[in-house]
Amino acid sequence: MINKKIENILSHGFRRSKLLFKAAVCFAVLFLCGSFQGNNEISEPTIKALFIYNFTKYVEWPVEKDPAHIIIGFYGPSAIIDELKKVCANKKVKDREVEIRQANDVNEAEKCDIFFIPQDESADFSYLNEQLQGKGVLIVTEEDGLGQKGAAINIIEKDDKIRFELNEASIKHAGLKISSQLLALAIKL
Amino acid sequence: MLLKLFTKTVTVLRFYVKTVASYIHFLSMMKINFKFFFFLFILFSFRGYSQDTPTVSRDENYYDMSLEELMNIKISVASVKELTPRESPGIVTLITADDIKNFGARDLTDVLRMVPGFDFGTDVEGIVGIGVRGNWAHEGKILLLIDGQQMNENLYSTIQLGNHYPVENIQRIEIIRGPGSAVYGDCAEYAVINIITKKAKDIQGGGISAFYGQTNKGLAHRKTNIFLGEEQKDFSYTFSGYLSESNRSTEIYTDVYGNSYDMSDQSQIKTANINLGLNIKDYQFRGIIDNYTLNTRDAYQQILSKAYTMSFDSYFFELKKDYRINSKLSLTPKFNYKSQTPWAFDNASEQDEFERYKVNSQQYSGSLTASYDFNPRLNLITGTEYIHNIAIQKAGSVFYTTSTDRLGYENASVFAQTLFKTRVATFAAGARYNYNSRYDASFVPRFGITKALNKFHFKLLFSKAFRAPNTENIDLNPLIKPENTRVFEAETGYEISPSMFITVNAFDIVTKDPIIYYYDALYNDGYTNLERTGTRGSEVEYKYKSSGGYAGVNYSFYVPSGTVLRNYAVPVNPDALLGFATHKINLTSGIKISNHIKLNASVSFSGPRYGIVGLDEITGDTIVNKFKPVVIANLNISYDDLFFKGMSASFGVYNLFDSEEFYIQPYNSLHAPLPGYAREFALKISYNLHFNQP
Repeated sequence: MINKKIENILSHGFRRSKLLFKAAVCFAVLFLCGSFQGNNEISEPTIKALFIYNFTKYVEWPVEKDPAHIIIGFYGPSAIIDELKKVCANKKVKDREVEIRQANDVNEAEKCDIFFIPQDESADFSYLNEQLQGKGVLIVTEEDGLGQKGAAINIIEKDDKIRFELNEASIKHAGLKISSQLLALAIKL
Repeated sequence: MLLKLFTKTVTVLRFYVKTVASYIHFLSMMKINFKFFFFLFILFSFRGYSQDTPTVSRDENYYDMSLEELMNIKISVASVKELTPRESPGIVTLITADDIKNFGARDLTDVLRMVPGFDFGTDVEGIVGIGVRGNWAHEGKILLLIDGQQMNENLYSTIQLGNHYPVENIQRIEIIRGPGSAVYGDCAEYAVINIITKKAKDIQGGGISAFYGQTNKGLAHRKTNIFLGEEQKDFSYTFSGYLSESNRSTEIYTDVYGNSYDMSDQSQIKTANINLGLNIKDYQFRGIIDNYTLNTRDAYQQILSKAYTMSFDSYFFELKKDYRINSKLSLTPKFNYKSQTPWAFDNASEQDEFERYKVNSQQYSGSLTASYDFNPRLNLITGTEYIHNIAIQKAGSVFYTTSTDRLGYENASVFAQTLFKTRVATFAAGARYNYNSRYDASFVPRFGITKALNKFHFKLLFSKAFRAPNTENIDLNPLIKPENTRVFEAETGYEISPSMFITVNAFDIVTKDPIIYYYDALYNDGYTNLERTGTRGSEVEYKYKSSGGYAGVNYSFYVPSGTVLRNYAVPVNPDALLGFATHKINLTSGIKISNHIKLNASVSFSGPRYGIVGLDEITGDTIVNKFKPVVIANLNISYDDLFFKGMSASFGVYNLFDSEEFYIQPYNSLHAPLPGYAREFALKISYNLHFNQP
């Protein structure tokens, strides 16, 4: 039965007018796809990954938990992880490589220098923030309002651009030092 | 040797010919010219090539920018691959390992009970299955995947619940409460349950647990689980082993003729499950062995003189590899082998009362899936799949259709799905065409529009889905046709705060030519296509989660859609279907008493249900009873790091109010309602060790 269908289709012939119409539709779709691609745009996970990578340059930790690595932990899955891996590949910050890992509980988070809480996991922020006080961990979040609630750095979106809030009190409680350059760029809380 | 090689070559060639043939058939059905597609392919290829280089260099430029420079860059909309549940084109429930731990779930039934629209009913021979949105989904209408392996058995496509699949090693469960045929193919008609077990990087160590539960009449559950997992540079593995024993119930079962027996010692269920995952570089291997045996005395209508042991043996193997061709294109070839011997009873000396039945079904399948990112907002997934099924009689019988001990058939399908994320909305479109060697082909398209707007989100979905007849459907009725379903769904959600979320949806399901199993008073059974069935209704879900605890409530409601089939009808209430409550409410809550202690409670309330309980002695008509509402409440208290780090204990009380729980047969085949669990007290001890722990 199927062979007959193949024969039918192969012998069906070529309809020029239909092809032209479909080609026009095809061009229209492609044009539409292309029109959405701005020249000076970058995906949100990529730019957030770049921000996190850049934070490592401006923060001083009182104790190097791992002298060979700056450890960035993620609390749950995030599209930023893959981007950050690409950004940090073959790069060193202050002679230390950047290691990206999952840190799904407080014990794992304590071992990190930067601990990122993705937006979907923001509900656990208060608990995690409380548990990590004074442990030398820079907590970075991406949910509106969490900077006010005590996140050391809260990445936010404003007018299609990325900004970050910096909570100086939280940074002090975490036992960290930040450079004045970072402070100058931040929205201070 | 040469002959073997020749046979294999022929098999491979047949696969390709069939694949190409099914593509051609698909295109012809879509009334689309070949040359148009060739043209489209060339254009897309050209565009893909032209975009490739600048994109990479552009990103790399960004990599060297300072924070100040980055702050001037505009962000684009997120990639379609990063769709959140709010944007994904489906009505989705996500259940995490923490949720399962909090529920104190004994098995998958405890987890699924809390999902909106999900319920349970009894089939035959002590088997319990799933209903979705008022529809009996047990036979081939719901797909259960564990680590990508299709658990539905190959003879009738059923999923057997009740102390079956282990929940101890689950990382998360993704449930699509709607059709998934366009992507997942067969069985994904009303819902898809996709279980993903813990990956090596989640485990990095091992653990062991033991569980014991008791009702006031005897053993309810006892089970043990062990797991290991480790990730190294190019190699990772996970292993889990699970053994369990339970009674389906410790209550009294009474058949439609009034005969009874105590299920305490006559409904034993034993499960053994091994799951092995290996990753070597980009190669991924998965092997699962599942053995489920149960003592059954309830049979079909009249109880048997004693309990008989029936078994379901399954073996699943998969090998796949992800080829990342470039930053836009990836290819995943996959080969699967599945061997199952379900519903098996093979004791010749006892065949008079309980008929011997042992059929081994083997399935060989190969698929190739391609994923192409035209740009971060436009993704296309397309692929082809070939499945060869062969069933072999092992107890001396022959198939009616072939008059031999073998019955085989083949499926070849092509599928495509595209996701397109714009600033206006996210659009999804997909379709699958399935060609079968023994019955009509199926074509199931799917469309969806989703939009997340600040705190709100909206979804509009249209899907078609199919259930392909399986070995025994074909054998008992060679004229059987695939059944086809179409579903409209709409959902809206609102994020009250980062900790609080509410969603509301409405659905309308219509299944045409439903494949119905019947077993009548004259002991005739078989499968037939009837006219149509379906339901419409709504589901509401509220969730709250904070560091100190969580709470959730969901409500689901359905009414039959259109004329109700006699097999599902409730004579005294045209607004309900047999077996399933039209109203159901689930409540979950947990509070963190200290850093180590959590107290969790869950309540499932089902409204009145209807089920067949007897036969009128004079007229021979079925007697349908209205069952009063049921409240199943569970309490679970857990203590982490008990005595030392990594050791946990939990104590649970299940069915706290000792409610009379029944699994009602949701179709008219004269099986009386099967009792569920009475109040159970249970203790679980577990110990987890992390290899990288200091």
